[in-house]
Amino acid sequence: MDMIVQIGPQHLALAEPERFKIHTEGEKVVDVEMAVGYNHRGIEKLAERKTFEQDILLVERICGICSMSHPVAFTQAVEDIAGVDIPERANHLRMIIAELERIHSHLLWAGIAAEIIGIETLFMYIWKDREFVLDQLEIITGNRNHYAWNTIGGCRKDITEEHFPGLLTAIEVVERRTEFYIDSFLRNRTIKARLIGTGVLPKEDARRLCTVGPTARASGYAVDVRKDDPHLAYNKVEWEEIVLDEGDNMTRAKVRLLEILESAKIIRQAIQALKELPEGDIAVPVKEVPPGESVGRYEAPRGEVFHYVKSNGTFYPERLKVRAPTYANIQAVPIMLLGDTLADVPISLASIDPCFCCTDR
Amino acid sequence: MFPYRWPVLIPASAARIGDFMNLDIQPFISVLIVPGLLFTSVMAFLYAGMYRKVRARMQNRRGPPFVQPFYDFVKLLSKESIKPEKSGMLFTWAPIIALASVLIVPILFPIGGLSFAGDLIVVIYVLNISAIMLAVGGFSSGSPFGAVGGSREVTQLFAYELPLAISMVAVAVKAGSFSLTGIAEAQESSGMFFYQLPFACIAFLSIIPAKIGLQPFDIPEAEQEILGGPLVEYSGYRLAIFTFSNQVKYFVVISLAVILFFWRNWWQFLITGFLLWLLFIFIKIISARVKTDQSFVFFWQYMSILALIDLVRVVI
Repeated sequence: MDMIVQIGPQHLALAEPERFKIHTEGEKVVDVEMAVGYNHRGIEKLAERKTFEQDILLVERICGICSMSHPVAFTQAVEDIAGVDIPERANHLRMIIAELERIHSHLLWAGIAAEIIGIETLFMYIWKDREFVLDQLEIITGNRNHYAWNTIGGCRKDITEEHFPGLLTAIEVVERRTEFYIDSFLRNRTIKARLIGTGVLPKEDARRLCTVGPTARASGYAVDVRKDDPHLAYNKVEWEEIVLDEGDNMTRAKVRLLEILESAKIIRQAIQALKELPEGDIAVPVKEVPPGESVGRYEAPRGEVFHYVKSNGTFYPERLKVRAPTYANIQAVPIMLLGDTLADVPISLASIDPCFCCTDR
Repeated sequence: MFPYRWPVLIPASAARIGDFMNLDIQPFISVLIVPGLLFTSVMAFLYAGMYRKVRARMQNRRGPPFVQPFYDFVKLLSKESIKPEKSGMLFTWAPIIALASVLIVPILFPIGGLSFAGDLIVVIYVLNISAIMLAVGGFSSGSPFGAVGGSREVTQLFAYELPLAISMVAVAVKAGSFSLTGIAEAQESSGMFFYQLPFACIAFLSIIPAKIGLQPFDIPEAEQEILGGPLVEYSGYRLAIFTFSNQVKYFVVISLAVILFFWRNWWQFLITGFLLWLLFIFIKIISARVKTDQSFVFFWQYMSILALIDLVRVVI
């Protein structure tokens, strides 16, 4: 029995509108058509009509979850054009918030994945623990999301002694809980039955389709901007790049959960570094942006965020181009789905951690 | 508080009134009050309320009030019920037949219900009708999600029917009777069948999540995959009846397990039912949803063998 099942634009497994036409024979998936663009907001064009300072807030609103990724990529590009080196402390400050964001994003993903395969208890638990990180973000930056942390030339606020104890406690709690969740994912028989061997993305396809982030690293394709092109202070801290080989949904879950532990390590070392660096040295003033063009690369929780900025010497950028990680990863979804059953579609689709508002901008 | 022996007393005193009026009204009491319509409805809402509350507490949530399923039922009755253009007459009749079929089962329970030789066979068939009606409702809704849900429901039915039948037959052979009352009486004299037929009991218990649509076997209603499957196009009073028939199924199937394997007397019947229900809520909240092929392997390869062991033991 041939049938076309529409996943989206509105579907429970998708938090955002995007359409997937699944052609099935019985329960088996034989073809997938994708249509992206339901969430287009014209942000790139809008950015040309705002000043650089305003654009930081604008690109921050490209995505609600990786709201650190886009501003950092953008400001890095602009700082490169202006030829300024931001203070060491600002690099560490950005890195701490970035890694906190990675933790909460990965926890959010793990919860959604658990909910999609039908184990809502794990979803409730994980999202409760995610609140520890969000609370710290609120204490430090003033907002749970959309931190308004960056400015051209550095950061807008400082993390001081009074923030350290709470931050360290939250990190420790999250670390402990994450170990419990890794254990749950690896040992619960029903979760294993759903995740192992489904949505397989072979390494060749991962490389051929230029996948990024945890999706690529779970297929054995080691690509991570933090290692390949170290920005911020990632080359000053010790951490491991998690690369696993199997390429199925379970591996993508494992990679993300293990990255939470690595992020916790990075934050601890960054806090140590902050204690030694002079306080208050968080930004250098940038008076004007000369004509020129540059790119900013940043490893977001979902993969590489790429910003291209062209300046013509005015207060306004002439062109801003954003490439979001999901735009690279979504090409891999049909390969994961083909041959699997309809029951695997939502979890395989969610396993790339899709962020469609980034994709469509 | 009700009198101590109320489920037994009401039919008995009612029968006396019937004698006085020269009319046997016991069957009407059994069908309409205990253990029929009224008692079953109350128990169904209790089970459903417990399901939502216990699940919420175990997940670090507050959860809705205990009577929320009843509120939902009344609310849905007052809402508009939309019938898809493509759907047929069965779209309306499927929920009604499903509810009627599950409401027939408790009338046969040995707590003051009717009884006749061979009513176990009736129970097996009547419980299947509700599952088939869910599939029929899904198919007739004209939505691909409904159709997929319907086909999953039928596949699931095939999967768990074999161990279900084998374990029930093992119980019947052991009791020497094909009626629920006979099985209950046999257990009153020789002790619970749980001790004598442990494998058949495990097989039967493993079927319950599939029968009432809970994780790990809520494959037909998978919300994140096929948006609730057969129920996707239902709304208003049709949805209310379908949901209520599912909630009645919670009580009926659990009670059936108690009668077949854990029967002692009528009040322990109620308590054991609640305890078993707690167990299944717990299993629900710690498991993910498996896939159709995996549930097939589970039921045919493992549970059927388990049930067969006990059937062979009993027959020999």
